[in-house]
Amino acid sequence: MAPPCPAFPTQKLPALAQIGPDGRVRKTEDGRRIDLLRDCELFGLLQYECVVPRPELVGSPVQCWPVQRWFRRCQDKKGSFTAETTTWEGTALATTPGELGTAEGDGVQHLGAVSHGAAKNAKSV
Amino acid sequence: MPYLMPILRGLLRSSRLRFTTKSTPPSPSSAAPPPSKLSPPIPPNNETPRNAPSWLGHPFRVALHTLKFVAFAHLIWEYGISMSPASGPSMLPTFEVLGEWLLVSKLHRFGRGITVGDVVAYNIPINEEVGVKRVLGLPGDYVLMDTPGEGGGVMGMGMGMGMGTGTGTGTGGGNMIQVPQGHCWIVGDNLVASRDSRYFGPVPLALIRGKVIAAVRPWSEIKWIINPLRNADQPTET
Repeated sequence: MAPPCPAFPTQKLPALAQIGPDGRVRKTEDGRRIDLLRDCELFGLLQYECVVPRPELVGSPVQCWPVQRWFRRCQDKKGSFTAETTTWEGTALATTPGELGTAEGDGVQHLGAVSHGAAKNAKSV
Repeated sequence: MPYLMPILRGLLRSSRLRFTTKSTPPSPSSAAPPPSKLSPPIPPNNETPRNAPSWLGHPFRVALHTLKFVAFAHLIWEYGISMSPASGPSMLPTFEVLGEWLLVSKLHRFGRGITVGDVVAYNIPINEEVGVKRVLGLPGDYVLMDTPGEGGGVMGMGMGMGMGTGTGTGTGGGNMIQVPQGHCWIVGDNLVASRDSRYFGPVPLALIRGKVIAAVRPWSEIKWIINPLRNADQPTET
């Protein structure tokens, strides 16, 4: 079994992303603390919500709607790590400095608009 | 050991036949024929024991070759590459519900070389079956425990693990965890029909059996599984 994992709300991500799994503060190569917006590249992948609209019919088509998930890949002294920012991108939180961080810029606000549901293009499989 | 005598006698006879010449049969008084008069062996009655495959020469040799083949196949299957059927709706639309055969690279067992976005085969921690899911978090990463829902909110699915107490609704909501050391976070591509880390929590890397590298629809097509995680600056594949 996995060890106890304390959950935290998304709002605390910018602050807690600066703490490594060993409990030590993460720092960049030049000694600064990790800022999700400044130091981390944005990545995305699609997952889906698939339903069978007519399950009573044999061979009924499956309809899938994409769900966009966002990730930030950051680099610290010890290597890279990833933080999922699906519910964080594009919110006011993305421009609010964390407790330990100093978030800058507003370059990703537009991404939140397409983070989920905006591209509800049905895909039949 | 009287039963060995006929065998030895037969062996001696066959060795004599190989080195006798037709033109100069050996006489009891003469010495061995000169080497220049040696000719290729001619078995009596045109019987050619060499026509039989060499590996069938001895039953023990057959058994030995079979054993070697089985051991080699086991080595490849366990530590190289394997293929097995898969079924279920949890990885739609990446994999069909039925009729998929998955090619699994065992070089990535125990999570070796796995990155976020890869599809892995793993031992399901709550039963004896093998599942296939996508890795969304590795040790030290931060992942959303819940399912992203309409409008950027979440649908609570990971609340039953005693790991969180928040409601996680609305934009910017949801609960997250940091994946502990030695574990990963896996989620099926079909979010509404997948039992994964949202249900049973982080999965030990030791349960990772390998990385799914291709889906084979028997004897018709092969679809290579490519990590879909793309930089946001690049066009997204759909």
